[in-house]
Amino acid sequence: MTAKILLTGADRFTMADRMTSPSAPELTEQTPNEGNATAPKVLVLLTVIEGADLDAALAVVGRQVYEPAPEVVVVGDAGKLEGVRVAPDLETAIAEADQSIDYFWILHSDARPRPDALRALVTEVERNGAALGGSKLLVAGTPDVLESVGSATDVFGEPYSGLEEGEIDLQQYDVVREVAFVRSASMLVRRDLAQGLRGIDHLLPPIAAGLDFSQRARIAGGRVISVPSSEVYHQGRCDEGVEGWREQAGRLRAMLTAYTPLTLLWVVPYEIIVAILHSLGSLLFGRWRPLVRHLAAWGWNLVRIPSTLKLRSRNRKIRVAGDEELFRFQARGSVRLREIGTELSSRVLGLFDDDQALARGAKRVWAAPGIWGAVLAGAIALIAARSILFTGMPTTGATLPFEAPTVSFSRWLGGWNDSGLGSPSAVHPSTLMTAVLSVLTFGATAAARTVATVLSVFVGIVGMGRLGGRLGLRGPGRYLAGLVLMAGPGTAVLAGNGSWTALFAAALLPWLVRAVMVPDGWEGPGSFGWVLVLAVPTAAFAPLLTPVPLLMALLLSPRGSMTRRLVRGLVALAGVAVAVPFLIGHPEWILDAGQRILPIPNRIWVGLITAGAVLAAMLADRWRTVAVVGGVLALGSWVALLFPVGGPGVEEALLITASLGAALVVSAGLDMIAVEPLRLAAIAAAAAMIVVSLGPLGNGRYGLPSGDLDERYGFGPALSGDTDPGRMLVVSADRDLLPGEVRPGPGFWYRLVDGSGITHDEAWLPGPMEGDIALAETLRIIAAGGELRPGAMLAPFAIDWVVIEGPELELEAALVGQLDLLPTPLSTGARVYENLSSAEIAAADDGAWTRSGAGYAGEPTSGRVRLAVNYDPGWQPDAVADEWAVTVDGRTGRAYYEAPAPDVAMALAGPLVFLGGLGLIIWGRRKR
Amino acid sequence: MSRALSILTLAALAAALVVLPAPARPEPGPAPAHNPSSFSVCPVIEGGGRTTQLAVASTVEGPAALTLFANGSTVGSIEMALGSNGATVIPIVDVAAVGTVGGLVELPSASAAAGSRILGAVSSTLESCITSIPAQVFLAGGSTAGQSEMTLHLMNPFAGDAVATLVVHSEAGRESNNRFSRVIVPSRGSAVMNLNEVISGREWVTVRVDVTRGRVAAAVRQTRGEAAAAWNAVEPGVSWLIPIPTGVDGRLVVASATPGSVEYQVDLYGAEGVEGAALTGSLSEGEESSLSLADIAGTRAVRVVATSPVVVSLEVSDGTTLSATTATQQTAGSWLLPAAASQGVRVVLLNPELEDASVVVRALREGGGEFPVNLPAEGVIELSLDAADAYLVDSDVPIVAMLFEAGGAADALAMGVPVDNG
Repeated sequence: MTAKILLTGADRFTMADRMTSPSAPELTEQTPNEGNATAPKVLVLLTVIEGADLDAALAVVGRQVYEPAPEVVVVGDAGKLEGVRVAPDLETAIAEADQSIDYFWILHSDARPRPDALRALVTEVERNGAALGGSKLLVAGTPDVLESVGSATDVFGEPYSGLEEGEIDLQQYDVVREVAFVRSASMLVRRDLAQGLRGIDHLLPPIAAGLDFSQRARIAGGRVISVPSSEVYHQGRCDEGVEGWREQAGRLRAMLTAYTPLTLLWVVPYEIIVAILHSLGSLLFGRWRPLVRHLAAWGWNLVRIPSTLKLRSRNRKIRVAGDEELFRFQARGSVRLREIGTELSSRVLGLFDDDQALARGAKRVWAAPGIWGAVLAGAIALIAARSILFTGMPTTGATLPFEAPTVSFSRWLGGWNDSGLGSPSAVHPSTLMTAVLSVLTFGATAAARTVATVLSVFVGIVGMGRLGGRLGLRGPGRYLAGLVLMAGPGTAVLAGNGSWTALFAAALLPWLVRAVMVPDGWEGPGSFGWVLVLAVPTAAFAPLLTPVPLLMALLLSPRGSMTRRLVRGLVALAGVAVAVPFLIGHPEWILDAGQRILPIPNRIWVGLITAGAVLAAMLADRWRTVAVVGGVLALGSWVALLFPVGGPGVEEALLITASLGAALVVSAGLDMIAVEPLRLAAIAAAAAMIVVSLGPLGNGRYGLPSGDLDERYGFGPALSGDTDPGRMLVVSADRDLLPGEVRPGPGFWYRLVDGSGITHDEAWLPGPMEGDIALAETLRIIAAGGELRPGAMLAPFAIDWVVIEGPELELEAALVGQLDLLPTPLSTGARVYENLSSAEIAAADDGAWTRSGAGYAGEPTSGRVRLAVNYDPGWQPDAVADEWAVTVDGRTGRAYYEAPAPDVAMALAGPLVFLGGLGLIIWGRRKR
Repeated sequence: MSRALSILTLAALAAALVVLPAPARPEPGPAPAHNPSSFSVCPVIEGGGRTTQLAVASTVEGPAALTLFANGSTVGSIEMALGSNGATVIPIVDVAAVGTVGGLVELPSASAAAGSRILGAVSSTLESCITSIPAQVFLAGGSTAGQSEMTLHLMNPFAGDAVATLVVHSEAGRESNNRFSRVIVPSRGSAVMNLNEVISGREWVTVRVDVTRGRVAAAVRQTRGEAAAAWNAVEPGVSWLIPIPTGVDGRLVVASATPGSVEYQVDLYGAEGVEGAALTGSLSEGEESSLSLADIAGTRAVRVVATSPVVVSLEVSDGTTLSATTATQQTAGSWLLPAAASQGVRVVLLNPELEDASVVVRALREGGGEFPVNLPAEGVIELSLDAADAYLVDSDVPIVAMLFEAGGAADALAMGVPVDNG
């Protein structure tokens, strides 16, 4: 709060007896100034506040120990009052006041001033030569809770009192000082000034009115002071029914009327920017009202521009001081943005601070268990992201760029799956998440990918810490265990294999488990809502992870909590709804072991997990249970992985579960630091696991492999000119060198990628259709050699390039003696062949169409357009099979895929479950 | 779960991880069996008093095409249908006047063959076109001494540029010249090197073509005065067969293609079959050895075996005529002999097996007849046939077939092309 101290040792009245009843203030010992003929004459303007007891207010005014006894004028709709003058509005009351009056005491009828309040006001205003003085407002009916002692504002008029919520008056602000404004609930103003200013703007609500009046008083050359010795209990009825946006609109009007045009020139745009940022920041916390308030405030003011101009004109006549006089009492920056920043930081820090140590004070932060573990883990995570932060995300394996959010949404909603030769099968559910992330960054897909990836590890670390907290752990190990979760035995294998989604699935899993592991006494729909809200994105990234919370609930719950947790574990299974379309279309993803990574268990990890879990198992129950369950999960998952049963989806879930298990062992082992042999051994095992996890994190990409496929295969779009770059056939004997899923070929692995750049949705290959079978047969023939024109054989598949990665293949010998695959020496490290017989991916009789969103578009043609995609009758308009491919009617200039209604309905199931979860959370909050 | 049970469970899982074998990594499907090529690369000379005729023959019906390539592009092409007799002859002059270029003949199947006959004013050469293009080929029997002129023709009909290194040996030892290293044969182009301009005066010259990128088909044209012969560079091998026409003079050339010393042995086929080793010897890398046919008079065929890969060729020359061909490493039940013959030819058949063969020779021309003949075990017979576009030899026992044309100043000698006529 910016204020200027004028005086110390202001008159002080006893604070012992406080008024607790707003309608019946107690009398304190009075010190009347009877016989003081020179005392200023005061007229009390008692503003009628709806719902306030006017008679009580009049009675309180009557008990004021001030001579000459002030005359009272009731302002507003007071009905008929005996012996009291009534004025319809403040302006009239002020205008009609007798010239003998020195001061007006503007008082709300919901204010209950102490008997000496007026005297204190007059005394201090006189003593300081001020034009306007405000009382100290205390909340009526409370033990001296401060409401206002005069306020500073920011440049937009946003009040900044500096008071904590519920702060008790301990005379800590009892200093007379100049302030930006005083509240209109109780203010003393010089009569001449009030008449010059024509009173309070009747359009404004109370706080804004006070601000406006104070600002006008100041630019008219008056001093505005806060008089803490004048204590007034305020019922706050004047604030009731006044919507927040009205105060905001009032402040805006006060700003627009007070400032000079030069100031407005920068303040208005600044205010608009602040309003936008404030609205967005509020939305981040789920609050939509600020946005509406800003819009309403501006709308209200736009409607009242004429009256605002009139007020400005009036103010110009009385102005004797510049805007600098106002700036003197204003806080720097924006109060609203500062509040948002404070809330954000407190929420973020709160994530690490179960014990609310931060809330208790910064000095005790480091004494809080877990906080240094969180900070250390966070620092490591930040260092582990250095390559991503400085050089960008790798594009390799299944870590691929996002498509535009509209295209991703369209593919998700039953759109065409463009992977390989295309398929009507659903895309991987993480495609939906990429669309959501991209929308959050306003379509900046690269930024979405980078930011989300960097944050994922932090989310995992915090999630692991919070899960540990829920399981009764309090030490630093639970946050450090987040590193093991994100780079432990399983996640590191997946990340090392280029699985970007594994990072997110691992990061979300502890949150989901935590939501399921509700503590005793947690009931209500909100807890189910959180389970659903977390289960859907978890399943979107790793569909088969959803049973893990149920398993954890089974293993970790005491008897009393088991039923409740099992029910929530079962509810978590609903999250898989988001993946049902994908799982139906890709059964091999669950069943085909041939697509798995099939990693070999790392002996170091096996030893460390076993040692850590066994050692912790010999500790007290609190740690034993967590460590044993973690150890069983980790080791059991690895044992299951040794059996070649299940596809890559099963493998993914087991690997992430193995990391979660290892992380639980670390949480238990590092939960308490004590110099006991057993504890020290457990700590050593846990620390060793963290150290081993740092290995994968050491590459600066969270363990993701390096590589930039966009650059490596960038020659496709670069050399294709105006035509569609078609597809690339990428081939290798080492399938790890190829992006995403691959198909087995004769002596090599292969897959097709989009020539214009492979995107996230293409990482998963749908089940083979006729075109894929035809391509496999073509490759078998080419690989056998003796074909002079393999390019012509590949042309129907729109393959413009053949790229061979890794070790030399027999296929290359077959490609030596041929006529239409031109070896092209490019500095990519791969052997690249340009197809001299290439054909367009969407070929019309008189030209070619190009990709457009999830379909194709080009010049309308009277003939048919052949699309080099697997035939499906859903292609429009008028799909006709052309061997394995499809032709469409070219007259509309557009080809698009129209999914059957059941497919669309299935795609909507996941988001609906998510929204249902949100609804339950909101319902739960309202119930609470 | 009790403490002991917990520890036991953990220990059991850890033990299972140690004991259970890790699953094997998935492998892609097996590489397919190699398909034989169905094309031939032929040296073509058109102009300078010489013209080329290509004979194309096939045992199955189907379209064929000829593409003449030079300097990275196609300079002429023609599609052809093999007649009912299964053969045709294409005069290149009808396709394009192109100079010295390469010709790619796309054959209807792997059981087809092409041959290139280059006619000069008084000379004629005939050689089957190249069907197999390995990364290393070798040729021997050339000379740049006296009136001899040796021209190497490297052809690359394929999509990518090829790079080859020539390892050239002569009686002077290994020849060193910048023009022999990193010879670039452009895609769809040829590189023609007159060795007389580089290493003149060499009595004998052998050339190994090591291809480091792409593929190169190599053929040589050797002139001696007015006479000319042409033969192909082939992949070296350790066992060679070649019949010898009756009544000819000339020499058998054996040359070593690989580093180190090579022991070789020449077995002679006489009227009664294999008569024993006539000659043994050793060769160093790139060295060649000649065996005069006069020294082995009465020999109907030879078999050469060696401890390391060598190449064997036969040169027929009587001082005014010259013809040559490379021996074969293969026996087969069917042979195609592209001829583009305008006069009578002799088909020389060798049966290296130990059982008699029933052989049918067909002249592929309109009204061409069939000539059944019995070929005794380890025997050689020679058939004189009328002119035809090509000849097809079918045998129930794997044999070797060669074409010899002796007429006036121009002889022609060409090993047949083994085909699968099953």
